[in-house]
Amino acid sequence: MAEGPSTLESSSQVDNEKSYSYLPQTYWGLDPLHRAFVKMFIRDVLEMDNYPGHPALNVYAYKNHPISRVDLLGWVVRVEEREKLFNYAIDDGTGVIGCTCWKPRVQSTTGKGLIDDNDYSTTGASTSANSAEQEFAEFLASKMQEIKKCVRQLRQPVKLGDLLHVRGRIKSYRGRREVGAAYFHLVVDPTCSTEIRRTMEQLQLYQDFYDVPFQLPRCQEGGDSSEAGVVKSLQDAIANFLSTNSTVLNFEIKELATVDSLMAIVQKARKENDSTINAKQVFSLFTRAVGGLEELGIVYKSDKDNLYVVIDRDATLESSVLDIVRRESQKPKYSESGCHYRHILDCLRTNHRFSGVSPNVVVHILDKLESQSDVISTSENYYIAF
Amino acid sequence: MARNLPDNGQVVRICEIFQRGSEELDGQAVRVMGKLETHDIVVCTAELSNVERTQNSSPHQQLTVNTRLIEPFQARLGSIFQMIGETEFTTRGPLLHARLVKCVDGIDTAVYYKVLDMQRQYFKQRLVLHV
Repeated sequence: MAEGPSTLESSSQVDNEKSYSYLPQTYWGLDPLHRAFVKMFIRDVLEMDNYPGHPALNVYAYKNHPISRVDLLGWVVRVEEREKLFNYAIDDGTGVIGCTCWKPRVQSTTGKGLIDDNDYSTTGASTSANSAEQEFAEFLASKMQEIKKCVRQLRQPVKLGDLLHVRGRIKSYRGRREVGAAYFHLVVDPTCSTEIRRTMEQLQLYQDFYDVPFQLPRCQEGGDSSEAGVVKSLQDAIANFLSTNSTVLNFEIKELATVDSLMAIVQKARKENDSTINAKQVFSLFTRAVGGLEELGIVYKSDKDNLYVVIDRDATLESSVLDIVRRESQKPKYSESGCHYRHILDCLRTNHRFSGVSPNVVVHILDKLESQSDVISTSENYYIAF
Repeated sequence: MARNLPDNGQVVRICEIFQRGSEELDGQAVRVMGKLETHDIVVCTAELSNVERTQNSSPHQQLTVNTRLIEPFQARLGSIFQMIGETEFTTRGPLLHARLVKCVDGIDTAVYYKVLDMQRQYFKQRLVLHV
Protein backbone atom coordinates (compact mmCIF):
# COMPACT_ATOMS: atom_id res chain seq x y z
CA MET A 1 0.00 0.00 0.00
CA ALA A 2 2.90 2.35 0.54
CA GLU A 3 4.64 2.13 -2.77
CA GLY A 4 6.45 5.43 -2.60
CA PRO A 5 8.10 5.13 0.77
CA SER A 6 9.08 1.48 0.31
CA THR A 7 11.05 2.15 -2.86
CA LEU A 8 12.64 4.98 -1.02
CA GLU A 9 13.66 2.60 1.76
CA SER A 10 15.35 0.22 -0.62
CA SER A 11 17.24 2.95 -2.42
CA SER A 12 18.48 4.28 0.86
CA GLN A 13 19.62 0.81 1.91
CA VAL A 14 22.81 1.19 -0.07
CA ASP A 15 23.58 4.29 1.89
CA ASN A 16 22.85 2.78 5.22
CA GLU A 17 24.84 -0.37 4.71
CA LYS A 18 27.96 1.63 5.36
CA SER A 19 26.92 2.72 8.81
CA TYR A 20 25.87 -0.69 10.12
CA SER A 21 26.04 -4.34 9.21
CA TYR A 22 23.35 -6.96 9.60
CA LEU A 23 23.85 -9.52 12.31
CA PRO A 24 24.16 -13.25 11.80
CA GLN A 25 21.28 -15.12 13.36
CA THR A 26 23.44 -16.39 16.21
CA TYR A 27 23.81 -12.91 17.59
CA TRP A 28 20.21 -11.78 17.30
CA GLY A 29 19.59 -12.56 20.93
CA LEU A 30 22.18 -9.97 21.95
CA ASP A 31 19.99 -7.19 20.61
CA PRO A 32 17.41 -6.38 23.28
CA LEU A 33 14.92 -5.35 20.63
CA HIS A 34 14.80 -8.84 19.16
CA ARG A 35 12.53 -10.26 21.82
CA ALA A 36 11.02 -7.08 23.16
CA PHE A 37 7.65 -5.72 22.12
CA VAL A 38 8.86 -2.76 20.12
CA LYS A 39 6.61 0.29 20.21
CA MET A 40 6.81 1.15 16.55
CA PHE A 41 4.70 3.32 14.34
CA ILE A 42 2.45 1.13 12.22
CA ARG A 43 3.93 2.61 9.06
CA ASP A 44 7.33 1.25 10.04
CA VAL A 45 5.89 -2.17 10.80
CA LEU A 46 4.46 -2.30 7.30
CA GLU A 47 7.58 -0.97 5.60
CA MET A 48 10.22 -3.06 7.30
CA ASP A 49 11.94 -5.61 5.08
CA ASN A 50 12.51 -9.21 5.99
CA TYR A 51 15.81 -9.59 7.76
CA PRO A 52 18.42 -9.97 5.01
CA GLY A 53 19.40 -13.59 4.54
CA HIS A 54 16.43 -14.97 6.44
CA PRO A 55 13.37 -14.44 4.25
CA ALA A 56 11.46 -17.39 5.68
CA LEU A 57 11.55 -16.28 9.29
CA ASN A 58 9.11 -13.74 10.60
CA VAL A 59 11.92 -11.45 11.61
CA TYR A 60 12.17 -8.00 10.14
CA ALA A 61 14.89 -5.44 9.98
CA TYR A 62 14.54 -1.93 11.30
CA LYS A 63 18.01 -0.51 10.76
CA ASN A 64 19.86 -3.67 11.72
CA HIS A 65 17.61 -4.55 14.63
CA PRO A 66 16.04 -7.98 14.18
CA ILE A 67 12.45 -7.27 15.17
CA SER A 68 9.81 -9.91 15.63
CA ARG A 69 7.36 -8.48 18.14
CA VAL A 70 5.61 -5.15 18.27
CA ASP A 71 3.47 -3.17 20.65
CA LEU A 72 0.82 -1.09 18.89
CA LEU A 73 -1.88 1.32 19.89
CA GLY A 74 -4.48 2.67 17.54
CA TRP A 75 -8.08 3.24 16.59
CA VAL A 76 -10.04 0.20 15.50
CA VAL A 77 -11.07 0.87 11.91
CA ARG A 78 -12.40 -2.56 11.00
CA VAL A 79 -13.92 -5.37 13.00
CA GLU A 80 -14.44 -8.91 11.81
CA GLU A 81 -15.61 -11.58 14.17
CA ARG A 82 -15.11 -15.28 13.60
CA GLU A 83 -15.93 -18.21 15.76
CA LYS A 84 -12.55 -18.26 17.45
CA LEU A 85 -10.99 -14.92 16.72
CA PHE A 86 -11.43 -11.27 15.94
CA ASN A 87 -9.80 -9.58 13.02
CA TYR A 88 -9.26 -5.97 13.93
CA ALA A 89 -7.59 -3.36 11.80
CA ILE A 90 -5.97 -0.59 13.78
CA ASP A 91 -4.90 2.85 12.67
CA ASP A 92 -2.43 5.03 14.54
CA GLY A 93 -2.35 7.85 12.00
CA THR A 94 0.71 6.50 10.20
CA GLY A 95 -0.64 3.22 8.89
CA VAL A 96 -3.25 0.51 9.18
CA ILE A 97 -2.46 -3.06 10.11
CA GLY A 98 -4.62 -6.11 10.71
CA CYS A 99 -4.48 -7.84 14.08
CA THR A 100 -5.57 -11.38 14.75
CA CYS A 101 -6.88 -11.48 18.27
CA TRP A 102 -7.79 -14.95 19.49
CA LYS A 103 -10.72 -15.19 21.84
CA PRO A 104 -9.71 -16.59 25.18
CA ARG A 105 -10.36 -20.32 25.34
CA VAL A 106 -12.41 -20.59 28.50
CA GLN A 107 -15.77 -22.28 28.72
CA SER A 108 -17.83 -19.48 30.12
CA THR A 109 -20.85 -21.73 30.65
CA THR A 110 -22.54 -20.48 33.76
CA GLY A 111 -23.15 -23.96 35.21
CA LYS A 112 -19.47 -24.77 35.53
CA GLY A 113 -18.79 -21.40 37.03
CA LEU A 114 -21.38 -21.94 39.71
CA ILE A 115 -19.95 -25.31 40.71
CA ASP A 116 -16.54 -23.74 40.98
CA ASP A 117 -17.85 -20.99 43.17
CA ASN A 118 -19.61 -23.49 45.43
CA ASP A 119 -16.47 -25.54 45.74
CA TYR A 120 -14.53 -22.63 47.12
CA SER A 121 -17.18 -21.58 49.58
CA THR A 122 -17.86 -25.09 50.94
CA THR A 123 -14.22 -25.79 51.62
CA GLY A 124 -14.13 -22.54 53.47
CA ALA A 125 -17.28 -23.37 55.48
CA SER A 126 -16.28 -26.89 56.51
CA THR A 127 -13.21 -25.62 58.28
CA SER A 128 -14.83 -22.42 59.33
CA ALA A 129 -12.68 -22.27 62.44
CA ASN A 130 -9.84 -21.29 60.26
CA SER A 131 -10.61 -17.74 59.26
CA ALA A 132 -7.51 -17.35 57.18
CA GLU A 133 -8.59 -20.21 54.99
CA GLN A 134 -11.99 -18.64 54.69
CA GLU A 135 -10.43 -15.41 53.66
CA PHE A 136 -8.30 -17.15 51.10
CA ALA A 137 -11.32 -18.91 49.65
CA GLU A 138 -13.08 -15.59 49.30
CA PHE A 139 -10.03 -14.11 47.71
CA LEU A 140 -9.89 -16.96 45.21
CA ALA A 141 -13.57 -16.58 44.44
CA SER A 142 -13.22 -12.85 43.84
CA LYS A 143 -10.16 -13.40 41.66
CA MET A 144 -12.10 -15.98 39.70
CA GLN A 145 -14.88 -13.47 39.19
CA GLU A 146 -12.40 -10.90 38.00
CA ILE A 147 -10.86 -13.27 35.49
CA LYS A 148 -14.27 -14.27 34.22
CA LYS A 149 -15.26 -10.66 33.83
CA CYS A 150 -12.07 -9.98 31.94
CA VAL A 151 -12.60 -12.98 29.69
CA ARG A 152 -16.16 -11.95 29.02
CA GLN A 153 -14.92 -8.52 28.02
CA LEU A 154 -12.30 -9.94 25.70
CA ARG A 155 -14.89 -12.12 23.99
CA GLN A 156 -16.99 -9.06 23.22
CA PRO A 157 -16.02 -7.34 20.02
CA VAL A 158 -14.78 -3.79 20.44
CA LYS A 159 -16.55 -1.04 18.56
CA LEU A 160 -15.24 0.90 15.61
CA GLY A 161 -13.35 3.93 16.80
CA ASP A 162 -12.28 2.38 20.10
CA LEU A 163 -8.67 2.57 21.09
CA LEU A 164 -7.01 -0.85 21.11
CA HIS A 165 -3.66 -1.82 22.58
CA VAL A 166 -2.13 -4.86 20.89
CA ARG A 167 1.07 -6.75 21.50
CA GLY A 168 2.16 -9.63 19.38
CA ARG A 169 4.33 -11.15 16.72
CA ILE A 170 4.54 -9.77 13.25
CA LYS A 171 3.61 -12.35 10.65
CA SER A 172 2.67 -12.60 7.05
CA TYR A 173 -0.73 -13.94 6.17
CA ARG A 174 -1.65 -14.33 2.51
CA GLY A 175 0.98 -11.88 1.48
CA ARG A 176 -0.10 -9.25 3.91
CA ARG A 177 1.64 -8.26 7.09
CA GLU A 178 -0.35 -8.53 10.26
CA VAL A 179 0.06 -8.98 13.98
CA GLY A 180 -0.82 -12.15 15.83
CA ALA A 181 -1.82 -10.72 19.14
CA ALA A 182 -0.47 -12.26 22.31
CA TYR A 183 -2.28 -9.57 24.25
CA PHE A 184 -4.98 -7.14 23.33
CA HIS A 185 -6.92 -4.76 25.44
CA LEU A 186 -9.41 -2.01 25.00
CA VAL A 187 -8.05 1.31 26.25
CA VAL A 188 -10.48 3.80 27.69
CA ASP A 189 -9.16 7.18 26.67
CA PRO A 190 -11.88 9.82 26.64
CA THR A 191 -9.54 12.80 26.48
CA CYS A 192 -7.02 11.30 24.09
CA SER A 193 -4.25 11.70 26.65
CA THR A 194 -3.08 8.10 26.35
CA GLU A 195 -2.60 8.49 22.64
CA ILE A 196 -0.71 11.76 23.02
CA ARG A 197 1.56 10.38 25.68
CA ARG A 198 2.11 7.29 23.62
CA THR A 199 3.28 9.24 20.58
CA MET A 200 5.66 11.29 22.69
CA GLU A 201 7.09 8.12 24.20
CA GLN A 202 7.51 6.57 20.77
CA LEU A 203 9.39 9.59 19.46
CA GLN A 204 11.74 9.39 22.40
CA LEU A 205 12.23 5.65 21.99
CA TYR A 206 12.93 6.01 18.30
CA GLN A 207 15.55 8.65 18.92
CA ASP A 208 17.25 6.92 21.80
CA PHE A 209 17.08 3.28 20.80
CA TYR A 210 15.38 2.21 17.59
CA ASP A 211 17.27 4.57 15.31
CA VAL A 212 20.58 3.66 16.88
CA PRO A 213 21.97 0.66 14.98
CA PHE A 214 22.89 -2.26 17.13
CA GLN A 215 26.57 -2.95 17.44
CA LEU A 216 28.02 -6.17 18.66
CA PRO A 217 29.94 -5.51 21.85
CA ARG A 218 32.98 -7.19 20.31
CA CYS A 219 32.90 -4.92 17.28
CA GLN A 220 32.60 -1.90 19.49
CA GLU A 221 35.87 -2.67 21.21
CA GLY A 222 37.31 -3.74 17.84
CA GLY A 223 40.02 -1.26 16.89
CA ASP A 224 41.61 0.04 20.04
CA SER A 225 40.26 -2.59 22.37
CA SER A 226 43.05 -5.08 21.91
CA GLU A 227 45.30 -2.36 23.22
CA ALA A 228 42.86 -1.21 25.88
CA GLY A 229 42.46 -4.84 26.93
CA VAL A 230 46.22 -5.21 27.32
CA VAL A 231 46.38 -2.02 29.37
CA LYS A 232 43.59 -3.29 31.60
CA SER A 233 45.20 -6.66 32.21
CA LEU A 234 48.53 -4.97 32.74
CA GLN A 235 46.95 -2.62 35.25
CA ASP A 236 45.44 -5.54 37.17
CA ALA A 237 48.76 -7.36 37.09
CA ILE A 238 50.64 -4.34 38.45
CA ALA A 239 48.11 -3.88 41.23
CA ASN A 240 48.49 -7.56 42.06
CA PHE A 241 52.28 -7.29 41.96
CA LEU A 242 52.27 -4.28 44.30
CA SER A 243 49.99 -5.91 46.83
CA THR A 244 52.00 -9.15 46.95
CA ASN A 245 55.40 -7.49 47.18
CA SER A 246 55.04 -5.42 50.31
CA THR A 247 58.63 -4.20 50.18
CA VAL A 248 57.95 -2.06 47.12
CA LEU A 249 57.41 1.44 48.44
CA ASN A 250 57.86 3.24 45.17
CA PHE A 251 58.80 2.39 41.63
CA GLU A 252 59.67 3.77 38.26
CA ILE A 253 58.05 2.57 35.07
CA LYS A 254 61.41 1.39 33.78
CA GLU A 255 61.67 -0.86 36.80
CA LEU A 256 58.26 -2.39 36.15
CA ALA A 257 59.43 -3.49 32.73
CA THR A 258 62.03 -5.69 34.39
CA VAL A 259 59.38 -7.75 36.20
CA ASP A 260 58.92 -11.00 34.31
CA SER A 261 55.26 -11.55 35.14
CA LEU A 262 54.35 -8.13 33.76
CA MET A 263 56.42 -8.43 30.63
CA ALA A 264 54.80 -11.80 29.97
CA ILE A 265 51.47 -10.03 29.45
CA VAL A 266 52.99 -7.70 26.91
CA GLN A 267 54.65 -10.60 25.12
CA LYS A 268 51.38 -12.50 25.00
CA ALA A 269 49.60 -9.51 23.50
CA ARG A 270 52.33 -9.21 20.93
CA LYS A 271 51.89 -12.83 19.87
CA GLU A 272 48.11 -12.49 19.60
CA ASN A 273 48.29 -9.39 17.47
CA ASP A 274 51.16 -10.69 15.34
CA SER A 275 52.84 -7.35 15.62
CA THR A 276 56.12 -6.13 16.94
CA ILE A 277 56.12 -3.83 19.90
CA ASN A 278 59.08 -1.57 20.37
CA ALA A 279 60.38 -0.26 23.63
CA LYS A 280 58.54 3.01 23.24
CA GLN A 281 55.20 1.23 22.86
CA VAL A 282 55.90 -0.95 25.88
CA PHE A 283 56.67 2.16 27.85
CA SER A 284 53.39 3.79 26.77
CA LEU A 285 51.44 0.66 27.70
CA PHE A 286 52.95 0.72 31.16
CA THR A 287 52.38 4.45 31.50
CA ARG A 288 48.72 4.04 30.66
CA ALA A 289 48.33 1.14 33.07
CA VAL A 290 49.98 3.09 35.86
CA GLY A 291 47.83 6.09 34.95
CA GLY A 292 44.81 3.87 35.55
CA LEU A 293 46.17 2.93 38.96
CA GLU A 294 46.71 6.61 39.69
CA GLU A 295 43.07 7.30 38.93
CA LEU A 296 42.01 4.49 41.22
CA GLY A 297 44.00 6.07 44.03
CA ILE A 298 46.51 3.24 44.45
CA VAL A 299 49.66 5.14 43.45
CA TYR A 300 50.62 8.77 43.00
CA LYS A 301 53.31 10.47 41.06
CA SER A 302 55.88 12.16 43.22
CA ASP A 303 57.70 15.33 42.34
CA LYS A 304 60.75 13.37 41.25
CA ASP A 305 60.55 12.37 37.61
CA ASN A 306 58.74 9.13 36.88
CA LEU A 307 58.77 7.96 40.45
CA TYR A 308 55.46 6.54 41.54
CA VAL A 309 54.70 6.01 45.21
CA VAL A 310 52.42 3.31 46.55
CA ILE A 311 49.92 5.12 48.71
CA ASP A 312 49.23 2.48 51.29
CA ARG A 313 52.92 2.34 52.19
CA ASP A 314 53.61 6.05 52.27
CA ALA A 315 53.32 7.12 55.89
CA THR A 316 54.24 10.73 55.18
CA LEU A 317 51.34 11.23 52.82
CA GLU A 318 48.92 9.82 55.34
CA SER A 319 50.28 11.90 58.18
CA SER A 320 50.36 15.03 56.00
CA VAL A 321 46.70 14.62 55.16
CA LEU A 322 45.84 14.02 58.80
CA ASP A 323 47.84 17.11 59.81
CA ILE A 324 46.02 19.20 57.25
CA VAL A 325 42.61 18.03 58.39
CA ARG A 326 43.52 18.69 62.03
CA ARG A 327 44.90 22.12 61.24
CA GLU A 328 42.01 23.16 59.03
CA SER A 329 39.45 21.91 61.52
CA GLN A 330 40.79 24.44 64.03
CA LYS A 331 39.82 27.29 61.73
CA PRO A 332 36.43 28.77 62.54
CA LYS A 333 35.37 28.40 58.94
CA TYR A 334 35.61 24.61 59.05
CA SER A 335 35.15 23.86 62.73
CA GLU A 336 31.42 23.34 62.36
CA SER A 337 30.89 21.34 59.21
CA GLY A 338 34.38 20.12 58.36
CA CYS A 339 36.21 20.86 55.15
CA HIS A 340 35.73 19.48 51.67
CA TYR A 341 38.29 16.98 50.40
CA ARG A 342 39.06 19.31 47.48
CA HIS A 343 40.25 21.89 50.00
CA ILE A 344 42.44 19.28 51.62
CA LEU A 345 43.80 18.45 48.17
CA ASP A 346 44.65 22.11 47.57
CA CYS A 347 46.49 22.33 50.87
CA LEU A 348 48.32 19.10 50.14
CA ARG A 349 49.44 20.26 46.71
CA THR A 350 51.11 23.33 48.18
CA ASN A 351 53.70 20.88 49.41
CA HIS A 352 56.01 20.41 46.46
CA ARG A 353 56.43 16.76 47.14
CA PHE A 354 52.73 16.02 46.74
CA SER A 355 52.06 18.33 43.79
CA GLY A 356 51.12 15.40 41.54
CA VAL A 357 48.55 13.86 43.83
CA SER A 358 45.16 13.22 42.21
CA PRO A 359 41.81 13.85 43.96
CA ASN A 360 41.04 10.14 44.14
CA VAL A 361 44.19 9.61 46.17
CA VAL A 362 42.99 12.03 48.80
CA VAL A 363 39.58 10.36 48.91
CA HIS A 364 41.28 7.01 49.27
CA ILE A 365 43.46 8.24 52.14
CA LEU A 366 40.57 9.97 53.88
CA ASP A 367 38.59 6.74 53.68
CA LYS A 368 41.49 4.91 55.25
CA LEU A 369 41.89 7.52 57.98
CA GLU A 370 38.18 7.39 58.66
CA SER A 371 38.27 3.64 59.06
CA GLN A 372 41.12 4.13 61.56
CA SER A 373 38.93 6.69 63.38
CA ASP A 374 41.47 9.45 62.81
CA VAL A 375 39.02 11.67 60.96
CA ILE A 376 35.25 11.93 60.94
CA SER A 377 33.19 12.63 57.86
CA THR A 378 30.54 15.20 58.74
CA SER A 379 28.67 14.84 55.47
CA GLU A 380 29.48 13.50 52.05
CA ASN A 381 32.96 14.67 51.03
CA TYR A 382 33.39 16.78 54.21
CA TYR A 383 35.86 15.74 56.88
CA ILE A 384 36.86 16.95 60.32
CA ALA A 385 39.43 15.87 62.89
CA PHE A 386 40.13 16.75 66.53
CA MET B 1 -11.44 -12.75 2.67
CA ALA B 2 -8.54 -10.70 1.56
CA ARG B 3 -10.41 -7.47 1.67
CA ASN B 4 -8.36 -4.38 1.45
CA LEU B 5 -7.79 -2.47 4.61
CA PRO B 6 -8.88 1.13 4.68
CA ASP B 7 -6.21 3.75 4.26
CA ASN B 8 -4.70 5.23 7.35
CA GLY B 9 -6.23 8.47 8.48
CA GLN B 10 -3.43 10.96 8.18
CA VAL B 11 -3.66 13.39 11.07
CA VAL B 12 -4.30 16.92 9.76
CA ARG B 13 -5.60 20.22 11.00
CA ILE B 14 -8.82 21.54 9.54
CA CYS B 15 -7.06 24.61 8.18
CA GLU B 16 -4.53 22.40 6.43
CA ILE B 17 -7.29 20.74 4.41
CA PHE B 18 -8.14 24.13 3.01
CA GLN B 19 -4.50 25.09 2.49
CA ARG B 20 -3.29 21.91 0.85
CA GLY B 21 -6.23 21.76 -1.51
CA SER B 22 -7.64 19.09 -3.74
CA GLU B 23 -4.47 18.01 -5.54
CA GLU B 24 -2.92 16.70 -2.40
CA LEU B 25 -5.84 15.53 -0.37
CA ASP B 26 -8.73 14.66 -2.70
CA GLY B 27 -9.96 11.19 -1.80
CA GLN B 28 -7.37 10.78 0.92
CA ALA B 29 -8.20 9.45 4.36
CA VAL B 30 -7.64 12.00 7.09
CA ARG B 31 -8.13 12.30 10.82
CA VAL B 32 -9.36 15.71 11.92
CA MET B 33 -10.38 17.25 15.17
CA GLY B 34 -12.89 20.03 15.57
CA LYS B 35 -15.73 21.52 17.51
CA LEU B 36 -19.18 20.50 16.37
CA GLU B 37 -20.96 23.68 15.27
CA THR B 38 -24.02 22.41 13.48
CA HIS B 39 -25.56 19.02 12.94
CA ASP B 40 -28.55 18.08 10.82
CA ILE B 41 -29.54 14.48 11.23
CA VAL B 42 -32.09 14.59 8.39
CA VAL B 43 -29.65 15.44 5.64
CA CYS B 44 -26.70 13.91 7.52
CA THR B 45 -24.39 16.90 7.55
CA ALA B 46 -22.40 18.53 10.27
CA GLU B 47 -19.84 21.26 10.50
CA LEU B 48 -16.59 21.15 12.44
CA SER B 49 -14.64 24.26 13.32
CA ASN B 50 -11.02 24.65 14.25
CA VAL B 51 -10.22 24.46 17.95
CA GLU B 52 -6.61 25.51 17.80
CA ARG B 53 -5.92 29.01 19.01
CA THR B 54 -3.02 30.18 16.90
CA GLN B 55 -2.47 33.12 14.67
CA ASN B 56 -2.43 31.27 11.36
CA SER B 57 -5.64 29.36 11.88
CA SER B 58 -8.75 31.17 10.90
CA PRO B 59 -11.69 30.36 13.15
CA HIS B 60 -14.10 30.90 10.28
CA GLN B 61 -12.95 27.86 8.37
CA GLN B 62 -15.57 25.24 8.91
CA LEU B 63 -15.30 21.76 7.52
CA THR B 64 -18.49 20.23 6.23
CA VAL B 65 -18.91 16.62 7.22
CA ASN B 66 -21.12 13.99 5.68
CA THR B 67 -22.23 11.93 8.65
CA ARG B 68 -24.20 9.29 6.76
CA LEU B 69 -21.86 6.48 7.89
CA ILE B 70 -21.65 7.42 11.53
CA GLU B 71 -25.27 8.17 12.42
CA PRO B 72 -26.48 8.08 15.03
CA PHE B 73 -23.80 9.51 17.27
CA GLN B 74 -23.93 11.57 20.43
CA ALA B 75 -23.82 14.83 18.55
CA ARG B 76 -23.74 17.40 21.29
CA LEU B 77 -23.16 20.82 19.81
CA GLY B 78 -20.03 22.44 21.18
CA SER B 79 -18.30 19.14 21.93
CA ILE B 80 -14.95 18.33 20.38
CA PHE B 81 -14.86 15.37 18.01
CA GLN B 82 -12.16 13.49 16.19
CA MET B 83 -13.21 11.95 12.90
CA ILE B 84 -11.58 9.69 10.38
CA GLY B 85 -12.87 9.74 6.86
CA GLU B 86 -12.23 10.40 3.21
CA THR B 87 -12.15 13.92 1.83
CA GLU B 88 -13.94 15.03 -1.27
CA PHE B 89 -13.42 18.43 -2.86
CA THR B 90 -16.71 19.74 -4.12
CA THR B 91 -17.47 23.04 -5.74
CA ARG B 92 -18.54 24.35 -2.37
CA GLY B 93 -15.31 23.39 -0.68
CA PRO B 94 -13.96 20.29 1.02
CA LEU B 95 -16.33 17.67 2.36
CA LEU B 96 -15.41 14.89 4.77
CA HIS B 97 -17.14 11.54 4.48
CA ALA B 98 -16.63 10.51 8.07
CA ARG B 99 -16.53 6.81 8.85
CA LEU B 100 -15.35 6.95 12.44
CA VAL B 101 -16.15 9.42 15.15
CA LYS B 102 -14.99 9.85 18.69
CA CYS B 103 -15.87 12.47 21.26
CA VAL B 104 -12.71 13.82 22.91
CA ASP B 105 -14.05 16.50 25.23
CA GLY B 106 -11.35 17.60 27.64
CA ILE B 107 -8.47 16.99 25.25
CA ASP B 108 -5.39 19.14 25.65
CA THR B 109 -5.44 20.63 22.17
CA ALA B 110 -2.16 22.45 22.46
CA VAL B 111 -0.25 19.31 23.42
CA TYR B 112 -2.07 17.28 20.80
CA TYR B 113 -0.93 19.55 17.99
CA LYS B 114 2.50 19.98 19.46
CA VAL B 115 3.03 16.23 19.43
CA LEU B 116 1.67 16.10 15.89
CA ASP B 117 4.27 18.64 14.83
CA MET B 118 7.00 16.71 16.63
CA GLN B 119 6.00 13.52 14.86
CA ARG B 120 5.97 15.20 11.45
CA GLN B 121 9.31 16.79 12.17
CA TYR B 122 10.71 13.38 13.08
CA PHE B 123 9.50 11.73 9.86
CA LYS B 124 10.78 14.62 7.80
CA GLN B 125 14.16 14.48 9.42
CA ARG B 126 14.36 10.74 8.85
CA LEU B 127 13.67 11.20 5.16
CA VAL B 128 16.42 13.78 4.94
CA LEU B 129 18.85 11.44 6.65
CA HIS B 130 17.96 8.56 4.37
CA VAL B 131 18.25 10.37 1.06
